[in-house]
Amino acid sequence: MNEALEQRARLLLSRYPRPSGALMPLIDLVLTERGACEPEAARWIAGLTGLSAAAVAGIASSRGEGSSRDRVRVCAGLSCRLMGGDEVARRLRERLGDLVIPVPCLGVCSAGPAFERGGRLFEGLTPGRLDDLVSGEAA
Amino acid sequence: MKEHRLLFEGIDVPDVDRLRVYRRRGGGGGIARALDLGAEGVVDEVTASGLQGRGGLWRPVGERWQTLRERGGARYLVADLLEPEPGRFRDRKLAERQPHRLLEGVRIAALATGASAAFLCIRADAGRARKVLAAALAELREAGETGGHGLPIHLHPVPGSLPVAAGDSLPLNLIEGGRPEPRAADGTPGPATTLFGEPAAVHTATTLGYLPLVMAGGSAAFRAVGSAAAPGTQAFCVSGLVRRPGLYEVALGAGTFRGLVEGLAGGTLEDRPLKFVLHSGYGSTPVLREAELDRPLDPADWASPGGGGLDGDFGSGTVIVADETVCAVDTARLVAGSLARMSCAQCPPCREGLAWAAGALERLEAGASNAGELEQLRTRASSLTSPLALCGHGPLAGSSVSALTAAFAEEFEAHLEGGCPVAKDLSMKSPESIHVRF
Repeated sequence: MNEALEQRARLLLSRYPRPSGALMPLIDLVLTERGACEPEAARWIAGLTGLSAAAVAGIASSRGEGSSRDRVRVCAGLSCRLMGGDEVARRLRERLGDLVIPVPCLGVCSAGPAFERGGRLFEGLTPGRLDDLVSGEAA
Repeated sequence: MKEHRLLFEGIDVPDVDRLRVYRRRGGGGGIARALDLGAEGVVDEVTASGLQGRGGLWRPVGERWQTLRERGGARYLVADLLEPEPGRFRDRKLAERQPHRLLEGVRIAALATGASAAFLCIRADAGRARKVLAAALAELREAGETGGHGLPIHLHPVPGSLPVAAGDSLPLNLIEGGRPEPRAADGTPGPATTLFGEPAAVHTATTLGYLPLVMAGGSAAFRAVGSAAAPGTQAFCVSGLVRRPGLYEVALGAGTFRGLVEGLAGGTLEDRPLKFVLHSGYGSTPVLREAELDRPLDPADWASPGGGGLDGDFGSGTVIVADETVCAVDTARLVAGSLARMSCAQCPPCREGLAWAAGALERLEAGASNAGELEQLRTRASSLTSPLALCGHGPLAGSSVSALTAAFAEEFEAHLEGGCPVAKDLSMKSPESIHVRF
């Protein structure tokens, strides 16, 4: 892990009375900066938090649903589905295949349909805007 | 029916998320009065206000604090902004639009409970809310009001999906570095729960957001809004097939779900006949059909939580609207399937039952089920409410499927004759406008 990550990790650890408290923020840090929590990263977090690498890897594996920067998380919540979320998922999948992952809810329910990529939310999609995004660099 | 903004008052003012603008508009008066009154005075004032938690259980905040203080107070305060329930975005909007109101509420609650550190537990993918809160915390630190000699307040981001209705132990587990699941009662009955082995108080962010208003304006002014049994307002999250989806804050008891959906939110998109309203998101019991929308926006009138005469649970103000193009079986399939994925998989009824239910509903939707399986679905959905679950996730899923099968029994039966009879419209749609944008 590079020095910048180590520094941010130290700041996170300082906030908790026990180092295990920093587990979720550290997993978030790794998923954001590296796209996935690989075994090396799980061992790093384990060393910092005093948890076993297996525990860290197990928990991280359930946290990384489409967190990779390349992946596109499409909201599959009911509110988005009613506004055409299935069509959004289908059209994105035509272009991006398996990188498109449905997630239970992106939390922008009054502005659906919506998807997220690389930490950026695209909500209130219309067919035209989706076309622009799919053909442009955003998606 | 009109909006009545307390919690979201001032959100259209430019830069109200900045400390200087918040203060210029009277922000900070709540914590100032709280510091004058001291912890006991704050607990008395909040008790007198009748403020109830806005997470969905409507527990009186003042009474919870009194119990906590009788046991020696709390070491930690946790603001729960996770709101994993699909359809709900109230805490996120509060954090994005009124971060200083939320943070002032955190400081008041910490003072009342004796907490000397606070964590804001938030979804990692709530990017804008995290950014706004981080900036607001930096402003407070610079002003010398948190950190140093003030209360340390930390953001605690949690990636990935989570179970719903999992209770206070979920954020506590997530902050301790445990698995993302609720835990069994930790031997401290009542409102006290522990974090790192010490007592902690957990509140939904929205609940905390009311505290500056209660403290600055006084309990009598707070009680002047809303009903006698449920003072104040509720900010309803309205989504689905309506003209103007969004966040509508109204005085409790001052209207009905019809007024909210057909009045404020403008009725259905393209004026299609309304079919049903999930008045409490995926966990709605009962499912309200068009003729049942005149139910009041007052938790006291409902069997749960208020012990009122209306059957069902008032819930958390997550309103999803469906018109005649929406299939009840398809809705139940989506709800069961989503909740199966969000389950923490600790308890067998939830782990095994939800996936099975989603499969059975998918077969029914495709015309590949039979009367025996539908009957089994009904029986199993109602048995999911068993006390064998550690949290409310599985029971919520079970009661939701039960409510849909009860409200649309004929439609479920009709699916046995060759699949879905509903003319669905799954095309992309746009509302006329969005009330309180993201």
